[in-house]
Amino acid sequence: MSLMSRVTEDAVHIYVEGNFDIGCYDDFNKALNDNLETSSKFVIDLSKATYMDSSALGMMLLLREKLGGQSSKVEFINVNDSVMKILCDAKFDQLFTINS
Amino acid sequence: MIRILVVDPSYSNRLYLKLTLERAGYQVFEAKDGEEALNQFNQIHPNLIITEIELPLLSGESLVSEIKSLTEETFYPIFVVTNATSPESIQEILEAGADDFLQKPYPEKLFLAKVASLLRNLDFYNDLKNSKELVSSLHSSLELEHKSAERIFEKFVHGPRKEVPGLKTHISSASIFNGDVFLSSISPAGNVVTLLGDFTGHGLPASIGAIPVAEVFYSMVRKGRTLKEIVSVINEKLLLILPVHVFFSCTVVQVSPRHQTAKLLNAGMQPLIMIDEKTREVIQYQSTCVPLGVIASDLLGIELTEVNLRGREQFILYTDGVVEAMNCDGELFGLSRLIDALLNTDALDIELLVHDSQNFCSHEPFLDDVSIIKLDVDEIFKAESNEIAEVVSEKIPAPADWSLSYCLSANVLKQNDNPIESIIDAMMGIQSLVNFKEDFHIILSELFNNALEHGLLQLDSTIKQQENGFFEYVKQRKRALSGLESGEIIIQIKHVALSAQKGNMHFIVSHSGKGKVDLEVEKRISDKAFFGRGIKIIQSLCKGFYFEKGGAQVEAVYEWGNGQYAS
Repeated sequence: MSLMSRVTEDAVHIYVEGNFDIGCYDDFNKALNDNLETSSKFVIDLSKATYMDSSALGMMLLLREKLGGQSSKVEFINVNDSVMKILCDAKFDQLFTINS
Repeated sequence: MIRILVVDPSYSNRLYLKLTLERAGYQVFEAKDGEEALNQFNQIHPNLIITEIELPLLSGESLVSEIKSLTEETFYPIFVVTNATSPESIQEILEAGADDFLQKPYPEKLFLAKVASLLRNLDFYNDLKNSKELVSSLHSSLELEHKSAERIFEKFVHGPRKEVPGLKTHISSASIFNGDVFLSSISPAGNVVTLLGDFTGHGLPASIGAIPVAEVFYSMVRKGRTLKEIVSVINEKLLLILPVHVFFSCTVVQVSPRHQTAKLLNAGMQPLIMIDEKTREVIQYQSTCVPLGVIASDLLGIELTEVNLRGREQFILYTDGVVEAMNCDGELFGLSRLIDALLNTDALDIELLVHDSQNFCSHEPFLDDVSIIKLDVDEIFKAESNEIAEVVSEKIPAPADWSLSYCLSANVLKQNDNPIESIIDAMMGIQSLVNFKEDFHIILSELFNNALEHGLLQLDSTIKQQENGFFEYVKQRKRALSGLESGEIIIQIKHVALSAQKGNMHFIVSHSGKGKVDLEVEKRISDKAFFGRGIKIIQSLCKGFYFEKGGAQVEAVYEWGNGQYAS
């Protein structure tokens, strides 16, 4: 797995490749803390993510909390079917904006 | 003071070394040959030994071997200071275990620097040894603590409190502590309530939240609280105590032998499976709400799924450890293999299912906690008359006639929009009918909510049918409630004794609002709608149900009878 982030004017884009799990935690936390003050929107691009486990879901909750609980500030894009199923099982579609 | 043993056959050499070392602050002992050196060593246990290679009686090399073999557990540095010039003899004594050497003649400063360096090594060695001992003693006491905690956990968190019929279980954990939580108990109304849940991650951090969950679950089931209430309270508690990134997914099944129904909730787990033992029909119940410990209970939208049972159903509850078991190609065992594995066995055997998944991943140990619970409805129904009756045999005192009446004004409702629990408690205070408490709660909550939401607040239930409509509905309810200026809800509860073992409980709820709830509206609602089911549930529980005053007053009559389990 790997996690990359790119900051643009209006959002922080986070790209996840491979398994989105606890191994991404440090990189994710860094991307989060570096940009929390300056950016108000996080876009999580999962086009290359193969899998997402519950610790990754936990990271999303952490992000949501740090953004003051406002779900509109987090957006998932390019979510494939298998990851979408994981997000829907956890009913995260009620907490975040998710686009396939 | 640091003790140094000097071994040298020459008196003048010994004297020189003694004076040099004593000037540097060391305590010095002497030996003139190998044997004497060994004796001295055994008596004084010096911190450092300085020796010549050529010694009478026992050679320097043998002395080194002897000391090193005597002292395998500890470190005694040996420093060779010698006249010998042949590289072979120096090589041999170093190989025997000597730690450093110096050939004569040498500058005194170099000699003292080497002594100090060897003593530093000794300190280093001793520190390391002490830490190692500390770590190993801490480790064994930690292991002991873990073991005792584990025992508490096993008793408390993983398994039914009472003898619950119809349960088959397989539980294995990835570390000492299990992040899975399995709870099962029988409510006073004779319902079998089973919860299987999974905290994020595994090990100690994951299992620590299990204790409050178990505490809430067992105490609330015992008190006859409804499933929805139990889940709400667990959720609130976890929301308060869990770190943000930890949450609790769970499935809950409540089987009611008396009503031949089951209530289900899947919060963030993989589909709950129900298999008809005879037709082998498989129904999957998908997650309908966010895992617990993430958002407040009023936003959670706990919607229980109600299922009518025929007595042939088997519920399979499982945590993701088994479906996410991976083979060497990185392929997951998956849900369809799980269902196939079950259907391949005659009696839907979960041990064979575990065996299949182990085969699938070439008998590698599971990486996550694995729990599989099978709930056999037939066995619960059969057990109803004897086992469950024993558990719920609460003595009901002879019934008497009484009534209670509450008038809740707009101002009261603004502050407390859920007074039902305290009203039920008040009823129990007058006459303890714990076995029927769950039914009372369902009836009164439905009547009250209808009066509040549709009578006073005039909310539109159809919102709930839209996508994510539940959230919208909750939002509108909050807004309408905070703007409520006038109106009231009157709740009357009348009890009429029919015999020593039987009574009628009348629930009369009226409101002064403009909205109406009437039978006509309810008739137009289809079975599949997300709303309007409340009235149907009340109708199935009560022997009488009446709309009065054009829908502004509703009366439900519930008949209870002792000995419903004494068949």
